[in-house]
Amino acid sequence: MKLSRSFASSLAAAAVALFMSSAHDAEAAKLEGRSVKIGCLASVTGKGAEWGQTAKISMEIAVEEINAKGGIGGVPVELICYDTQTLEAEALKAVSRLVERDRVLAISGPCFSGEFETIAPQLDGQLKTVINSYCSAKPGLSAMSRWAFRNTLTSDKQLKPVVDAWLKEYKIKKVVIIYDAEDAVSKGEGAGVLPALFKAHGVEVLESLTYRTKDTDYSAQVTKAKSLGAEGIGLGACYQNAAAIAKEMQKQGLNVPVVGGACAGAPGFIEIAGKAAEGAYMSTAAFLDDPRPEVQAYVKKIVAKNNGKQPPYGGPRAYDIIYSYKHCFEASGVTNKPADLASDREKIRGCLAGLKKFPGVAGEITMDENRDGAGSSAILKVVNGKYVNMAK
Amino acid sequence: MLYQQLINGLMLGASYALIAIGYTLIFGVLKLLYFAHGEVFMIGAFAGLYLVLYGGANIYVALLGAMIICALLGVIAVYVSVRPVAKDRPLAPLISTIGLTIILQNLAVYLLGGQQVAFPEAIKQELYHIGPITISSVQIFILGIAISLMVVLWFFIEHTKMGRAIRATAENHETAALLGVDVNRVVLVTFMIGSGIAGVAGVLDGIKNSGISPFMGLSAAVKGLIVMLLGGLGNVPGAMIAGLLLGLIEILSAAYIGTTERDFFSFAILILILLYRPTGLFGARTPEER
Repeated sequence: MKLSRSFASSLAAAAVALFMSSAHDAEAAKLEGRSVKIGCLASVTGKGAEWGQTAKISMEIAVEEINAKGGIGGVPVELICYDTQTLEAEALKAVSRLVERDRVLAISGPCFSGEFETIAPQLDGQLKTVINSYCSAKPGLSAMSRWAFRNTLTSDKQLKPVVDAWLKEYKIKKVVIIYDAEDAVSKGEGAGVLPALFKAHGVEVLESLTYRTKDTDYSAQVTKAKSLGAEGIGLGACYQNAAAIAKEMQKQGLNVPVVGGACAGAPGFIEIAGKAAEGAYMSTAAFLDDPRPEVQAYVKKIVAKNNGKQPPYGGPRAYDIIYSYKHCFEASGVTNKPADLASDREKIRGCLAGLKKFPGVAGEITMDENRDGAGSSAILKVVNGKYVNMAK
Repeated sequence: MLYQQLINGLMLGASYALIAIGYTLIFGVLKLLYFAHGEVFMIGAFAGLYLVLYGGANIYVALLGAMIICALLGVIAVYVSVRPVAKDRPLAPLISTIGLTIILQNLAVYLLGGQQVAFPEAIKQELYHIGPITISSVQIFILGIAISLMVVLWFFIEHTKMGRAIRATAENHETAALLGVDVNRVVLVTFMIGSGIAGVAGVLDGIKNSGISPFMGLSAAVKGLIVMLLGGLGNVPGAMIAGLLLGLIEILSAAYIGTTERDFFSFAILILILLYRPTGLFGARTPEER
């Protein structure tokens, strides 16, 4: 009796294992070839260094996890990464290299809006391969090509709840906007998104002041903002410049609150600005305070590989892109045969365009009609040298 | 607001002046555009940063340390990229110092990473209100150090034996040598002084702008070059005044005309001055140019 029970249970276990594996096979069609190639564009150096480095590590983590579980459709993933140096021309060169020489199925990245808007118009011509940004936030860019996707939220979606909360807490009536006239997303925020949001709240924009990405001296702008009587400063800036502006404000005794957009809300802002960062509000497209085990497992891995620091939102968004590619490669009948490259790329494009409620560590991915991520995310405020989520 | 902007301009100008002094000193004695000067400035900033962060040094020790490290770097530069290179070919030392520039920058990126890093708050921030202007302890510190350094240097050049030797060498190598000046030693001392001042300028820039990166040397080098031309080649007091002037022009054009046009104005003014006063505002101190 004893024997037969254990025999029965082992039989049952074998049956379950058999069923599981056949179910797995049915879901994940076998791919051909020695490797499944995914291209990656990351701004590992230049003004977007922190964004690019953390995104690259995140994609590598995802690939490692997928390969440890048998790859995509039974074939190991090969991630081919190039550093764009946060320069438009470099990004464009790297895309052609990935599409034409490396012959990847799809590309993750580029990060920056400036890079994205340079590449997107070229896609409908000869490139015809999916690009998918994990940080670009300037509104309207994905509309440039049916191959252009962004697994992230545009600035208007990111900043609306942030500006609401910022104005509610600080009761500001007059602001000065300072923005980077050379950076695509910062200019979009400084000249478009922020003025519109302030107008909707009846807040007066006293003046919009600009600087250039490589500037290091912001004393003239801060003095001017102070003399105009600004009660708050809206920033269209990347984190290094945003931090330098916050410090200059502190130096000149302009102690008014700051609100910043997509590129500013990286941990580097707090690191460089120190105490001058306190009380600032920043927008984001992902915040890793979700207790779900898969989110915390990712946080643990990325923090260990990123000198003990949390990544900006591009990290988790890039991680999710790799998993969404795994899903699309397996679900849309991609063969990975060299002869099918063009049709494989087209199948992937179709699958991504229809992506709805795909679970990711940054939240659910739903592509809207413009191929941008939908929904909203956290509201970041700097409290005691750390970002906290004010949306909760 | 005008007075406040004038202070901003002086702050910016003081750092330009400190960089340009080294340029103009070295140009004076060697007739050499020393390209690596901007990178020496960058290394000074990092030396100061590490002395404060890991050496636990206070800001004065950090300034002195950066000065000594950069002065030594100046000595190395002389032995590596100036002395061994053929002197009868005027372009050769120019190329070798460009090479040194690239080596220093790449080395910094390799060792320190390509990112901007925060400079620690080494001075306690306090604000003083004097009439319509607000000035902070940080600004007073930076201006104070920069101006006293310039005064000491001016005194050294004009009133000491070594200063006289530097001026004589700048006038004419052969004559100076005939009169008993050790020209090789003068060149070495000039590099040490110029590089040491650039090191101090680097630390002050770190304090002023709160963040430093391995790429900060290039734009500093360009600005230093403009100031040297404005002030007159080889003219040390000229470089000091021209530096302050360029800082004021940049800040005032940024404040009253437009921030994106600030470089346009500084370069336009440079071209105008060179058109009407080819020897710079205060006259060159080199015989060929006079």
